[in-house]
Amino acid sequence: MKNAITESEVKDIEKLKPFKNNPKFHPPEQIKKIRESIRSWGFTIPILIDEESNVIAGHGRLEAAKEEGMLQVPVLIARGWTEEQKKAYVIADNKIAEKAIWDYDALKELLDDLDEFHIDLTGFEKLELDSIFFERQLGITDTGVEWQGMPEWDVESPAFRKMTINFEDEKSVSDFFELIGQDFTDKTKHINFPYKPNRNLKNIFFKDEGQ
Amino acid sequence: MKANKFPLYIPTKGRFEYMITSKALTEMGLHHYLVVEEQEAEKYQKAIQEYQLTSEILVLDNQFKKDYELCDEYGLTKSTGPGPARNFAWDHSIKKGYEWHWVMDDNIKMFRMMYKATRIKTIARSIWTQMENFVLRYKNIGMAGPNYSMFAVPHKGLSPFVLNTRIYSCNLIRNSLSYRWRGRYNEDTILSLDLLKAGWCTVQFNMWMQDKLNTQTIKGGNTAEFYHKEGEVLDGHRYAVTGTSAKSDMLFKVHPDVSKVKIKYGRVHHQVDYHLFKKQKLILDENNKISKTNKNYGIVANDPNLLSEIK
Repeated sequence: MKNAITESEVKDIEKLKPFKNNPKFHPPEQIKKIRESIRSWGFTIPILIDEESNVIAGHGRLEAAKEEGMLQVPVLIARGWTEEQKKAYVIADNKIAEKAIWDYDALKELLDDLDEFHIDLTGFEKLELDSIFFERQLGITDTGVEWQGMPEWDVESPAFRKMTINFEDEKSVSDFFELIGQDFTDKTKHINFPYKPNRNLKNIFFKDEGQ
Repeated sequence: MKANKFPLYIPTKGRFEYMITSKALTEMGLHHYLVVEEQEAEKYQKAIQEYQLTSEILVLDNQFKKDYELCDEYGLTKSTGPGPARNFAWDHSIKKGYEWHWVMDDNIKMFRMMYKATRIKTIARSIWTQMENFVLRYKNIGMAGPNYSMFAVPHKGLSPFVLNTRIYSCNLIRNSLSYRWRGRYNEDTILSLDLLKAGWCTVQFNMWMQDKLNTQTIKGGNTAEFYHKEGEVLDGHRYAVTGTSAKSDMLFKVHPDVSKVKIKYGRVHHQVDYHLFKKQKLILDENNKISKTNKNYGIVANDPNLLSEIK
């Protein structure tokens, strides 16, 4: 296997340099979770660095280790990688992992076996856990059925047909209105045919009886 | 005449000279809380007196700002947006013993009801009861609220409500939820998605609507805090041309699996795919005893003759 990395070693934490333009930001809540993980299980995944100690993968772990006061961390060294390979891996390391899909039934079974303390260590947030254990009913909701007992719902337009007419110029506008025998102003936007005055709804409103 | 069961909150900043939502709620005769920052409390108090509003001031506890999850790395160097004040309102309503609360933007100029394919202004207090009673029928609604009237265009396919979508600007929230507002921007969408992903349903009503002033048309609020500060307002334009990109970027960061960032009409917009949640069904709450026969709650038109013109 080309450029295979097989052995880890230990490096001084202060010698490690974050990758320039690392595209992933690690929010404080995530760092807190990583710190808890390091405390519980130790440093299980070494940080991937290049020969100049630039971090390629593991920025979150590095930050968490610093906050934990660690002086040294396990690293894997990527030897002979080109700059393009390193840059691509910085992205791939984050992006490819996002493609995995949870089997929620299997996950729920595992979580069912854990106590609250250990569930906390899994990295799952309350919101995600709620989602896993939430009572759901899947299917199509019939809004008409659910609306029973609510105010009358009728949104059918009283018009037989509606259409938009685009006029080429001012003369076309006046020709058109002359043809249908109706008046118009600069503000005319809707008309009825045959003629029916537009409703003036500005003065109408709903209120409670007795209000 | 039935009014809201649950308290109404309006977080507001820098807009004491407008009091737009407060005026709308006052016209309905509804008590509501204004959540304001300490340095502006006096100015808001004066505005309440000047406009004779039915508002009560609550001063935001700054701890809510410090504890707020901003979802970016800028801390308190930039405005937090309304999220901390909304969380404050949430906790306040819990302390008051309520199971739900309403929280809304400060630039809603009126509410409307759909009547025979027409969106009519309403000052009826009972529209709040109607929305609340619908939501209380079900045990798995996390959040609900009226749609923007400009989006509820009457047509044959329009439903009285849309299930499992974003609830914005006027939100009825179940207090027992373990989530809270988060994000410096787009907190409405983020919370909606948080709930939907967790399995809760959301309900956006087209039967009842809100009329908002267009974004960035009045001073204060997000206009001052974000859009004009972070974007560029060109000569002769009301809108900042770049101030919404950070907003869209944030949503993409927090919920990348369901959102996209796109340029539309020369501005950066976010797009969310809510279809993933469409199959989460409403589940009736067997313990809910609210009658289903009280259809119109005694709502009437101010002038029945005018109403009869609507066919």
